[in-house]
Amino acid sequence: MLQVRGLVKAYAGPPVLRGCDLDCRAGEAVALLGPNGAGKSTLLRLLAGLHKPQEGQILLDGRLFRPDLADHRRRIGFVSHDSLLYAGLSARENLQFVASLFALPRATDRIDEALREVGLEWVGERPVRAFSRGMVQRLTLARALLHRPGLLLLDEPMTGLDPAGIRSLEELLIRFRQEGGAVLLSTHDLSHVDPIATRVVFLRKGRVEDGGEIGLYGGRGLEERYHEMFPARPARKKGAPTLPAEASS
Amino acid sequence: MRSYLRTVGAVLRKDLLLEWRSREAITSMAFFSLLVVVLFGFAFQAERIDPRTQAGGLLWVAFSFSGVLGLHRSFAVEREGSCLQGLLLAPVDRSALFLGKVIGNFLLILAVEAVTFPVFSILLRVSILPHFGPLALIAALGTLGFAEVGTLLATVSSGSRLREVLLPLILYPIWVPVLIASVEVTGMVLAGEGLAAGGRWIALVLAYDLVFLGVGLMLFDHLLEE
Repeated sequence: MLQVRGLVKAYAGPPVLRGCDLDCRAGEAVALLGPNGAGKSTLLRLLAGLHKPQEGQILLDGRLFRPDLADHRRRIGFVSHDSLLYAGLSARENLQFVASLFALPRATDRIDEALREVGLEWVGERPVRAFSRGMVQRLTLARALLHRPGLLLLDEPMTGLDPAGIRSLEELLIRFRQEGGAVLLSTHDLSHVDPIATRVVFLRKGRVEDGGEIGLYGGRGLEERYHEMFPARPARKKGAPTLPAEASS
Repeated sequence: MRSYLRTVGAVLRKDLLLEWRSREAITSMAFFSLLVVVLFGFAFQAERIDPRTQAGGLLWVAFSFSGVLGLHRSFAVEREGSCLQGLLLAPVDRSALFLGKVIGNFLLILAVEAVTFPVFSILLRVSILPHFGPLALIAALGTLGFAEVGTLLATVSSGSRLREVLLPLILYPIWVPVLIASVEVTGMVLAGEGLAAGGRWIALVLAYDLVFLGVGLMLFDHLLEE
């Protein structure tokens, strides 16, 4: 479904992505793992068509991904760090707005269904401003799923969710994947990877460096591999002398 | 074409609904516009202002300052929650997003002008009612140009931390031709000379409105990308 080849992206400064390669097939959920600054969010934003890469190709269903094509946009659902929701509108009004932009047929039924899927049918008329962080996150997910995309891109989707919310999100994503959808999600929390992802990919300094089927990392294998790849830096004590190398950089 | 108009309608409906709920933009714009008129009223209290040379300028100063407040608010709701990003994910012609926002801003500024005109008439003792039709026309044409170029430039400035300063700084110099023309025609109308006397000025405003409508429709997509 999705093929990424040699993606390079730089904002002001050194490249965030330095030749990133990745595949994600239908029915597969790939977890992007890596420390802050590894390029996970940038990669997802490029795949959502929000930014253009300087180099490389994104292929969607074997064709070059063109964000200007409506058909390509319809294939993608995106959950970003931000809610993309209007706080002054109700949950239902937000989804109605999205439905009209996507020209969804039988929008009212679809909105009811989407609200039910994320467990927000009881607060559909309430303004988003009155929502808790977790409820906003659920509605963000409903927004991304409303037009029934084939590929779901999720940037830290568990943020703000309570345990029940995380469980229902896991169930929802597993169902989405089992119905033939492809999921690409970034997360820092390794405990949520196993139930959702079928494959993991380790991203370091803008490149995919390692990865494999989730079965390869049984037990605490995933955590061990993660810490092996990204060893935690010891925090410097307050008042400790600066290393000469750090001082000069 | 139907889907294009549906997108325009969706953006317009959303903007008006948000404004109806919060009334933030209209309140601050109307308050500011009336405040300017009241201050002019105090400043000119001893003498009657000349409708031909002064009234138009005073009115359009009030409109242009309050209009900028509306433009800021229009993009503040898009910045909150990164909603502008949400618009970019939609499979729509982005020029339709521009058109929807232009119409929303246009209606909002017109509403404030409708409140400002009678207060101006009372405080500055300028007769407006007999010239209602021609005044409404020139107000609409001048405001349309303001909304077009303002929406376009507010898109550019909305990403900047200095947007409150940046927007008027780049908007007013570009909008000056319409300002001069609108002030001239408003003065002529209020002096009883009629619209026909300002034919050339009206043609200038019309041309400006058309040019910036075209520029906006063409450039909005690129500005959003940036």
